[in-house]
Amino acid sequence: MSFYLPIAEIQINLLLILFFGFIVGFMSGLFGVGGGFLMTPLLIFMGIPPATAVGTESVQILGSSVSGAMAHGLKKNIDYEIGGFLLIGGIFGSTLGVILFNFFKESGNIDLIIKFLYILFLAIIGGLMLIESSISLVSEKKVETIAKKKKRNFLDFLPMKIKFRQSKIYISILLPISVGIFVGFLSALMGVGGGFVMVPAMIYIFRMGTVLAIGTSLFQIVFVTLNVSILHATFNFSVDLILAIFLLIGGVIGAQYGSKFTSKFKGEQIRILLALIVLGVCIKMGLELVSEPLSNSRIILQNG
Amino acid sequence: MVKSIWTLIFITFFIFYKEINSEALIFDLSERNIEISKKDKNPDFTIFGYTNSKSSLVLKIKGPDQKVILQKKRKIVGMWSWNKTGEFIYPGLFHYYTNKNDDEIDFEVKKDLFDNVKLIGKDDDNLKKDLIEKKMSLDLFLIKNNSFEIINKKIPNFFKIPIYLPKSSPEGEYTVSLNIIDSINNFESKKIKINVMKSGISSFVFNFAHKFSFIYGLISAIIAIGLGLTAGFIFRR
Repeated sequence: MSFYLPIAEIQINLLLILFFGFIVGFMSGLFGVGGGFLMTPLLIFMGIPPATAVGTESVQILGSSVSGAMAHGLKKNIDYEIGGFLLIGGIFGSTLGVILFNFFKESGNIDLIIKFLYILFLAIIGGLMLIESSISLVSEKKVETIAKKKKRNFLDFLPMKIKFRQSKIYISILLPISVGIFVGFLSALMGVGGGFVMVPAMIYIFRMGTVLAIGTSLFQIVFVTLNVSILHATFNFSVDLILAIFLLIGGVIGAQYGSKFTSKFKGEQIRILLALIVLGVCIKMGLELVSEPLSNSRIILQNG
Repeated sequence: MVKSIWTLIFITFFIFYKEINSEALIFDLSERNIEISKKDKNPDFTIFGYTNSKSSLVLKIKGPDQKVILQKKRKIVGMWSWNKTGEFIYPGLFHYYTNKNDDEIDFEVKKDLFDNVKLIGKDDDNLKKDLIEKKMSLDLFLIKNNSFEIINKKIPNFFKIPIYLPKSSPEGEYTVSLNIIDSINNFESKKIKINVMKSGISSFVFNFAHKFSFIYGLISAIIAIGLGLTAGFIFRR
């Protein structure tokens, strides 16, 4: 079932795309993560140009997060006030990210930037997760996942503080706007939703409840990936709709099966497994970056 | 009156002299509207022709102009990246088919190819060379010597050239021409314009994404949202 992907400009087996979509969807369901930071590297390993992998993945994340966001919305698990400020930052950060993406693409450095950011983030996330889950497994004590710090720090002295009634927190609006900018920026450059940054930030820095943090994060992801998808398609021609549809179908089915297996493992075991996968992807990406490309040059077709 | 008769005789002699010494060169195509084949084995179209010339012949297929950026690999702190080295305007496809395999024809063809690639801004022969090599590796630039096939051995003046276009060939108006190249003549026969198109969903998506990029982005997002909501609805049930 070989097919020529029009935007990625490669011939690929669509069953393979469905299979990899399923695998990453399965892991998303199993580990409870978005999967964007696993899918984009996988697409790059399959030969999809990194710029197209990022643009396409933003469409896939949009599709896979919209039903979750809607379900959380119906259960009133979204703090729309914080979500609104996250979104202001997210739209600004993602737009800035797409402009930078375009600049790096024109100069020929976008592949390096994408791979470098992935190595950095995968190493940090994988490393921290491995350490935390290993300690937890060895000591066999439940690690406190939600830190309800009562101590005041410099973030409590930021100006423009308002009370967010649903989350019952009193913080500066600069916090959600800054987190939104950072996550939006990552979303545009890496093709991720950014939940892996946003949810811990909301729990540990904003001191929100876990469920509200997940719901609000999904709400922000939907609108930011919508913005990123349209901007990437408009200015970078890097969204391959056919690829995104097949990834989405595979991913949605995989996630349903993955979530059924979650209860069969201990939480620490799952986290160690995810950490090892993340570090494996990080090492593979690092090797790609230091290996000399087979071709000496490449041609980029300009529009018009 | 005598002067007029002499003029008539001279003109008649000149016409007949030209006719006797002219080299016939006729060609045509199997079709003018070409759809790039999904099957690699079949030629996309065939050139049929007749010639009594013993000279070197070159069939030239020229695609529509394209603007591209050439990037070369470079190492930054031990990591490999790409660096923009030049912008070019050149025909998106350039195929040459010759009836011989000698140095002279090879030189003429390569010179023609080189002259048709235009670098925007400062000219640089090394960059042009790199671009031509890159395009040749993609079969978008092609020089195929000894490619005139004799249709019937008893009448060796009739020939055919099967043409295979790569899948990445640009859509648009192409020009096909047949040239005689030797030390005395550099004669070009008629030029035939053909229309090359691609069929199927890939071609539609590519054209739509490049011509209406904002609408394409919007539709992509709507489809993704629709699929996501449908999947959520199905699996919740």
